[in-house]
Amino acid sequence: MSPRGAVTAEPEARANPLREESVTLRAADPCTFIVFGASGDLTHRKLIPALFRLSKRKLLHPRTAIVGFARREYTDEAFREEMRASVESGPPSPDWERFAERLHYHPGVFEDHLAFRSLGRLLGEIEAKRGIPGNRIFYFATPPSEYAPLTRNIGAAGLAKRALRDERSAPWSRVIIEKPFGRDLQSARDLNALVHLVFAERQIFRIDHYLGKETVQNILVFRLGNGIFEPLWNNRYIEQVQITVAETVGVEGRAAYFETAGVSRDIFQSHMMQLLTLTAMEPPARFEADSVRDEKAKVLRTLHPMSPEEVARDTVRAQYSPGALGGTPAPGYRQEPGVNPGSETETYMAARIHVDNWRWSGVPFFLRTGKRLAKRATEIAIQFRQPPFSLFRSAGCEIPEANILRLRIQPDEGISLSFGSKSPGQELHIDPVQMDFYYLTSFGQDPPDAYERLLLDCNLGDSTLFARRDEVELAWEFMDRILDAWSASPRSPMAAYPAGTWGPPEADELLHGHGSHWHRL
Amino acid sequence: MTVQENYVLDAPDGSRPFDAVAIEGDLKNMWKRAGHSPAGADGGARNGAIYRAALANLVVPLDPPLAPKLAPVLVDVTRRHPSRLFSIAAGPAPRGAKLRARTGAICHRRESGGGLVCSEQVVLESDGASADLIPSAIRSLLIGDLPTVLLNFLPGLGPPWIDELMEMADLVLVDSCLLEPGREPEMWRFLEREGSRRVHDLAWARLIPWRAILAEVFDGKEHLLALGTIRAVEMTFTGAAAFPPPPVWLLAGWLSSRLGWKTVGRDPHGLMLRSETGPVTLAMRGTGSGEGRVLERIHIRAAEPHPFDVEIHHRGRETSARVTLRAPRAATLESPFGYSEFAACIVGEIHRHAANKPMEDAARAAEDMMKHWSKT
Repeated sequence: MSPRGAVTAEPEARANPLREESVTLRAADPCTFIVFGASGDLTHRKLIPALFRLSKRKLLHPRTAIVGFARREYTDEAFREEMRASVESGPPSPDWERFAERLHYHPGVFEDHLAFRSLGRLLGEIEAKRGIPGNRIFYFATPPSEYAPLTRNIGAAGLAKRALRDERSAPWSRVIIEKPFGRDLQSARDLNALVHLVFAERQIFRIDHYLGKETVQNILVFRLGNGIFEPLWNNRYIEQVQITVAETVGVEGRAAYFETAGVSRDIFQSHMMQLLTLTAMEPPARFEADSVRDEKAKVLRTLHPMSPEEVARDTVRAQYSPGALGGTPAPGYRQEPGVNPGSETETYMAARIHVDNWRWSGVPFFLRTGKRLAKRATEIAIQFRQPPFSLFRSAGCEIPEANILRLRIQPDEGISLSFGSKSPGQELHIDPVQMDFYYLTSFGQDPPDAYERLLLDCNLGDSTLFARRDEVELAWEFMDRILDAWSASPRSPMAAYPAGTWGPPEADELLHGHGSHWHRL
Repeated sequence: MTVQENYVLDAPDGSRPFDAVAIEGDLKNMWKRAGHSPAGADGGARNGAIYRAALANLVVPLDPPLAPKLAPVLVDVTRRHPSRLFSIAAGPAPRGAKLRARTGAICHRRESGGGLVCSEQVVLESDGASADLIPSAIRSLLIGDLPTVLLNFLPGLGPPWIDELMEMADLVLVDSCLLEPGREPEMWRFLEREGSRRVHDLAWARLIPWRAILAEVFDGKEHLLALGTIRAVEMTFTGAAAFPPPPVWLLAGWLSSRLGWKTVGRDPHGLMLRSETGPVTLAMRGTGSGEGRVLERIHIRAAEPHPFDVEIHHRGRETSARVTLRAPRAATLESPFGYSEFAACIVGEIHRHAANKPMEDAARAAEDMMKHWSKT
């Protein structure tokens, strides 16, 4: 008898007995990151700092290289110097010196197929020199309008290899695409079809950086890794759910893009839908990419499709007018640089959404997002039902508030639970108190940056935290009904709210019928 | 004690005869002072808020000769896993000094800047006679509802007060590398008796990158077949010692238990083992130089019909290892090696809550090998 997993002379059908579940090191393959849009804001602010930190923490393979591609003419040296400004000042640190050796640059226009052939030669040279076995990650850090020429030229120049069944044995190619994935269902389908001409679905990593946030990942751990919450996570115990993504910033140099997108396409269709699906999904069979994404897609399939009348009743769109934010006067949206003075683009959206399934039937999900709101805050608030009988009413004492579980995504990442407690004294008074968990004070460190996590996941081929084609298309299917109704119906007028407030009064009315109000953040 | 980029707040009252209420009072006063001092209690190092954090009660008996070496490790552990840290020096206090304690805090600047995250520290010292009071002193100061982790850095299973601390702890971390050569199996039997979910050997944790890289080497279908025809394994560790260190024994035991080998004897070249397909020799030798008795190289050869020859070489704190493949074809590559600092190993074990069957199997196989090794 040999022990479990022992190898015999012909172990064809066996798994590697040295591969244990307990060895969970995430070892990244050597690869080349090719960043299109390398002179842009996203590359400076997010990608290079994230790659630098991964390199510093030894999480990138020592042979991994990074190639920037953009219209601007840089030498490798000039590109390195420009990128260094986004991570450090003063004399170059040893960490930077090591990182800089990975950085290369190739100038080119996205529509120029010859530039891609020349890029291919550069990649070949770098791979030969650094011993990279042809693994490539293409990062589209560009406006969505560039995705089509990029994909076509990558395909035409033969820069990407289509995934084989056994990806481990061959050089792999992956592509990371930034949101928005389309501007409606049809354009999302067109984009997916185009990208699929070159890449198989498992090679496509649609990045929504919200999913890389530690607190967003913690939603599932919190729900499904603890015994006490999941039994309560249904319409029997939960009265309503509120999801808020509030920003204090305006359009900040993105006016041209924002004018065509609005907050509905920029945030609601992506970030908010992802938060909604993670909150409402059923437990997946396994914690791996397709199981998790199957369950998220199921939630999107069960969203109640809104009729034009329901859109008029259950959604609010608004635009900020001049106001004051944090003690400083703030312009209205139409006064922002680059914005059309007669713009009808919404900077605020709120909606009452129903998930038509067994678990959530009758529980309204209130979602709101906006720019130039009073505070920067993202949270999911689960409001539980009141006790069935008010025992303390006879003592002249009402329970002041329902129990609310708050999952704080940002800032002050953590979780809090509010409940009623007797305040000290002879009389019976019940006051709301909080139990708080803060990442910082519990773990002594701030959660890592979302891009770090997601870039590493892509390098490791783990797509759990990336959106799948059906998720994106289902989210658009839901949104299209709202967007179509807004554009077609005069019953959905644009409301207004002063910058620095919590949105228009019309949004409060969504909750009045439920005897409720938006939670204070 | 001040470590670069770390700040230690010491209560000005210094060491005092142990009194649990007074110690809690000292800790409270320390935070009050830190909160009110604009410059911070560390004389200006602070910039922003001070956060007091605790994920665990960390109880650490320190062998006096090892204490200076381990102090920076503990500072790093509190950075990675903020805790109420109990450092225990049993025995060195003058006779009659009884049990004494002082309080302090170890603080680390947040990576994002803006303030310090601090772990409270209680340092306990005793003379020989009052060492037995240490467990009760610690029990009175544990933060309720947080796990108690005993990090036993004493070279052996120790006196009764250590046993009492072990009973009190939710998790016990031991290090068989601190034991006299040949006494490791005592620790491993203890671990098996108490359960590998509750007792972890840090010598095993040091092997994680070795096990990962070995698994990866044999992941390919063609290479996997060679696992069945391995005929020789040679492991080299730094230092001149004739007796291999615990990580080498455990790695040998791991290979043996995973691959179903039986130890049958010893010859001048090393241990003789038998797999289902034939004999296997296992050689373990020191390089004769260098410090620390650290595993540095492993060379595995497999015979026909699946010839395979691979050598993995890793030095010091490098984060990659050189993998030299000689058969079935020649290739050399640098492969990622998940080297972790000692503090990271410790924290990794604190985060592991599952029983460790591979380690238990490896330790049993290693003990069997040691018996054969010692016979000649």
